[in-house]
Amino acid sequence: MPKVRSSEAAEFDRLLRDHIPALYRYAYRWTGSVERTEDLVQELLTRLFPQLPQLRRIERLRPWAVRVMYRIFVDELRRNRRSPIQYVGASGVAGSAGDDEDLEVADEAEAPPDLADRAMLQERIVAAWAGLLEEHRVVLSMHDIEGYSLEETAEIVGVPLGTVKSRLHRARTRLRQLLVEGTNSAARACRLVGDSER
Amino acid sequence: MSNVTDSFDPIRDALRAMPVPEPHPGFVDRAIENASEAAPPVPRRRWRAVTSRREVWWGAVVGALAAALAIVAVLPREAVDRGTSDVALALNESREISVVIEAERELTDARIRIHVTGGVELAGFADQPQVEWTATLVQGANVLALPVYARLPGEGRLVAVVEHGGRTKRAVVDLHVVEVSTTGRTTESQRGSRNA
Repeated sequence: MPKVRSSEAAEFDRLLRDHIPALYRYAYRWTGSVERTEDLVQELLTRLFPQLPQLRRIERLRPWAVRVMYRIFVDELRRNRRSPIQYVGASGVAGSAGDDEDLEVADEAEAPPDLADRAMLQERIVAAWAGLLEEHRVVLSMHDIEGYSLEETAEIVGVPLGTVKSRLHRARTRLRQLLVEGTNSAARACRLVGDSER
Repeated sequence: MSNVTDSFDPIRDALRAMPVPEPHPGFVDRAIENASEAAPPVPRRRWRAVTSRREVWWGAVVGALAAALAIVAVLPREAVDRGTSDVALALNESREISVVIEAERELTDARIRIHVTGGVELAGFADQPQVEWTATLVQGANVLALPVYARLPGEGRLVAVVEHGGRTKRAVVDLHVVEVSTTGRTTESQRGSRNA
C-alpha cells in the first residue's frame, strides 16, 4: 500500500528538492566524506521541516539554507573538538587573532612552477584540499568554487567581511603551500625511486 | 607588478573541477522522507503522544524565573497539550523565557539542546543559534531560564529539545518580533524571513 504523505511533506519536498544536490555538493566540500555529508544534509532537512511556514516566505531559499547548514556544521565541529589545545592555523597564529584586519584578498606567494601543468594540478588539488582546515574549505568553496561574493560568503558564515577576506587570504596561501609540499614530496619520491633503481 | 589574482586562476579552475561523489542511491528521497516524519510542523498529535507517556513533559512559559515554578502549576492545560507557546517581543527587547521540564524521576545525562531561529538570539550567544549540554534532571520541575534578545523584526522560534534513553521531547516557543515605530504603532517585518 503506498504511503500517504501529508500536504506539508509534499510542500516541503517541492520547496527543497531542487536545492538538495547543491547543498550536498557544498557539504561534501566542507566535510570531505559522503557519510558526513549525508548526515549534515539530513540534519539540515530535519531542522528545516518544522520551519515550513517560514520557508514559504523566503525568497532566496538556497543561501538561507546554506547558512543554516553551516551553523550545523560548525556546531558539529565544536562538539567533535575535544582537545583543549587551540588550533594553529596556516599563518601560525593561534585562533582568529587578526581576523578582523581588512585585508585585500590577494596572495603574494608565487604559484609553484609546475602548477601550470593542469593535469598534475588537478591530481594534487584533491590531496591538498583534504589538508585544509574546515573553515578554509568553507570560504574557498563558497567564494572561489560556487562564486558567492565576499559579502554573501560573510553573511552565510556569519562573520564580518574583513574576517572573510583574511580567512580567504589564509586559505589560498595554505592551499598553495600544500600544493608546493605535494609537488616537492612527489619530486623527492621520484628521486628515491630513481636512486633505488640504480 | 604581477597580477596576483590571476595567478590563482589555474588553482581556482582546478578547485571547480574537483569531483564530488554521488550520494548513496535514494538519499534525496530518504532524507526528505525522514525529515518529514521526524518533526511535523504542526506538532499537535505528536505532543499528545509525548504527554501520554508521562516520563517527561515540558511546559513552555514566559515570565520571571522566580515565578516559573508557580506558572507550571497554573499553565492552561491546552497550552501544554499544544506544545507551543506564542510570545511577542519588541525589537531589541531582552526577555527571559522560562522552559520547565517536568521529570517523573531523576534522569542522568539528559542531553538538552536549545535552538533559536529567526531574528532572535540567545543573549550572550550571538553567533550560536544552537546551544547544547548534558545535565541531570531532578525529579519534578526543572527550570531553564533562557534570556533571548530580539535582534531583527519578524518571526522566530525557540525550540528546546531534551534527549534521554533514546527518547526525544521538544517544546516550541514561537516568537514574534515587532518593530515599534516612533508613534508607538507596530509594523510588520519585511526582513525577518532572510535572517533566520
